[in-house]
Amino acid sequence: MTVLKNKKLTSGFLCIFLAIVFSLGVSLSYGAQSSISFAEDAKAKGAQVALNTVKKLSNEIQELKSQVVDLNKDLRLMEEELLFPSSTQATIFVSLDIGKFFTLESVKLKLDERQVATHLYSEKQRQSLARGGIQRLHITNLNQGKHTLSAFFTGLGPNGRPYKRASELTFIKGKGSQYIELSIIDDLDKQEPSFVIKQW
Amino acid sequence: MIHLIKLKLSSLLAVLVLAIAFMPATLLAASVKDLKYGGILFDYYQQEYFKALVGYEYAKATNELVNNADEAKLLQGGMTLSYGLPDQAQLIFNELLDKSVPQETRNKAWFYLGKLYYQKGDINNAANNLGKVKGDIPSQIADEYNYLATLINIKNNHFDAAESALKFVGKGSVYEPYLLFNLAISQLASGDAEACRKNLIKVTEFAKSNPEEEFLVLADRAKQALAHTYIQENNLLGAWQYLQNVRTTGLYSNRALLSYGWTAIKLKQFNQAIPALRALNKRSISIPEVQEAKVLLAHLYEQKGATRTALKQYLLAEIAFKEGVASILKARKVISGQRIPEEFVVNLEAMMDETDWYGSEPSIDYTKLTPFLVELMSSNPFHSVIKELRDLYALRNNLEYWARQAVEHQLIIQHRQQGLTSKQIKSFLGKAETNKKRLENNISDLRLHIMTLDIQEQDRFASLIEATDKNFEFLDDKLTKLKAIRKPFKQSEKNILWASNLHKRIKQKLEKIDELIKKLENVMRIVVNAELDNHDERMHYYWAQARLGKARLYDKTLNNIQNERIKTTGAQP
Repeated sequence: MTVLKNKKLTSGFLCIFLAIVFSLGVSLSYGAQSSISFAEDAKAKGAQVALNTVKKLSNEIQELKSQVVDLNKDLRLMEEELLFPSSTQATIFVSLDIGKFFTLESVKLKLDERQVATHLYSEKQRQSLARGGIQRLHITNLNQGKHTLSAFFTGLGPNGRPYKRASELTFIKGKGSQYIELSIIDDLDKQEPSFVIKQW
Repeated sequence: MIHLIKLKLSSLLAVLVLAIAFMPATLLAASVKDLKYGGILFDYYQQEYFKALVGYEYAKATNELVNNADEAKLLQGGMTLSYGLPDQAQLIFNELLDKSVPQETRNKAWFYLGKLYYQKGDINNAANNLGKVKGDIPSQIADEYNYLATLINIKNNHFDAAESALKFVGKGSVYEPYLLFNLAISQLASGDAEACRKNLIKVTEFAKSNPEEEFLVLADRAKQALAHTYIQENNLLGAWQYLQNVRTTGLYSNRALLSYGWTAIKLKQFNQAIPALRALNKRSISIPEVQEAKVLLAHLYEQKGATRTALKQYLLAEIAFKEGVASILKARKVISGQRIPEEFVVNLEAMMDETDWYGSEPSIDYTKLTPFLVELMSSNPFHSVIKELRDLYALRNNLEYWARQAVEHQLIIQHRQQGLTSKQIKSFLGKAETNKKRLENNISDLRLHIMTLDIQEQDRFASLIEATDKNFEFLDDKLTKLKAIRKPFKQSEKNILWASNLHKRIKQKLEKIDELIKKLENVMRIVVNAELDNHDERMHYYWAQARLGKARLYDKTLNNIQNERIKTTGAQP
């Protein structure tokens, strides 16, 4: 028999479930004892109890999940009102357009020369940004007036070399809430990434 | 690259010609015009559906989904479905389809509705909805669309349509081997063993060019299925050629080894059967195939006339079965523990990811259960219970977080209510101004003192003086803002009431979650115990077989001794 080292079951586990479900009823081993059923009745009864209970509770669980989503929305609204009222609120986002020339590893954020946030990216988060996701990096309170925002990006640039860039924006915070986007864009003409800070 | 594929959909029996553009997912950056929509996508792509749904509701409440409203609604439907809320998802898609939305959005909505019905087991409606997709398939769902369409064709026994779709659709995509496998099993069930074998061979070939563990496991299963088809036809040699190539480690290796052993015995190749049974003999006693192999191995030795080895094997098997029964008892105690279901459900994926966990000696409590539940884990009822429990535990964690936050919220509110009055602010400002003047005088003295120093010494203090000036500017700014306050901020009564109501809702929902968790945990215990009963009965059966074998050999030996005595002494029995 070919002996290959078994490493681990991968993320395809759920897909395999599907395959197994399809192949139910096809017993793949056989032998003298394959016809004997051991406590099968109890097992089938247990499975039936499980199915019935899940079916019975399914509506309740669905309703509860929706209610908890709704409650989370309300709590988030209330907490922001409490901690970051719209008159002083400032939120900083990070976005990535394609990311062919730059693999984002981390970002460091300074607001009025004080470091306020850092973030180290996982592969999943990088992929998510590359597909159009936008990350809320930081939320804070700011007074009306002039402020300076500096962002420091580290990662791998073209040819997989370590790459560090900084970008700065001086902006005037007005009366309402302020959104700022740190945008990493592939500059196709220069074949390198460009880092832009946009005020929304 | 554009492929033209033909898919036959269930009751419609219509042939749709679809143009599909295959593009890597990473190159499909969605067009994001609303920041908050991007935020939802960020969570959605990480499969954080709960967070993404909350993000959607939040953005909708703050009216921040203006430009991407339809896409966001569609996304909400998809996330709702993925999060296990099919009824709500159905409403969302129907609502969206009632509106005048672009064809691409409509196509996605029809696709998701099709998927929803498929998950509910309603194949006809799934096919009907999929059939309403018109024109180009949106590239983001193209692979999944083809997968679903082919699955429906397989379910409806439209094997030709499924086969021809498989020739064109995403060759080399991750879906391909699963579709081939499912198609093959359905073909076998309908009696076409030859077509089944062809597709199973394709599954094994796919693993050769894509040697990831996921596909190797599937290939093992395909080889076993191939062997099974030959065994059904009494073609043991045919079966033998595939059983030889199943890996001897991995989730499906136990069945393969036992089948291999039995096939060898039936082919009268006893020496080939022994290594396979020995390999099984070393594995965990909780595995049914191992239990059978222990007795079978002893029986094989007995048949070969190796009485001493056979007796030793029976005796060792007895000890192993005794230990097995004891570990079932331990597993029963474990499942009755209060926190065990949660630990088991939450760590399930990590446990399944461990290398050869089924063969190792479990050290943590809940892992003592795992070896007994391998079969159960692939059963739909158990899987549904685990899925619902996992979601409920996540909800409980989420609300426990908010319960902790609620304490902080109340503290902030309390603090603000006891905040400074206008008079107190005035007095504070007076004191601050005096302090500021005193500090300015001190700095001024220091400046004069520095000027008396050498130029080099003066340079050393330059940056310090500069930093101090900045601090004074900052202080000035703060004092000016404080002076501008006419009336101190007070938390509005409306907000205080709002917070208090929400905090009450957290408590109520937590109680409801606990109640549902309790019910489902009880079901989980019932199912697990039924499975343990099954193991217990099987273990006792093989234990009895081992005892019988041992007794038979003792009996035979006694007879031999007696016969010998009769022969030598001539004594009568």
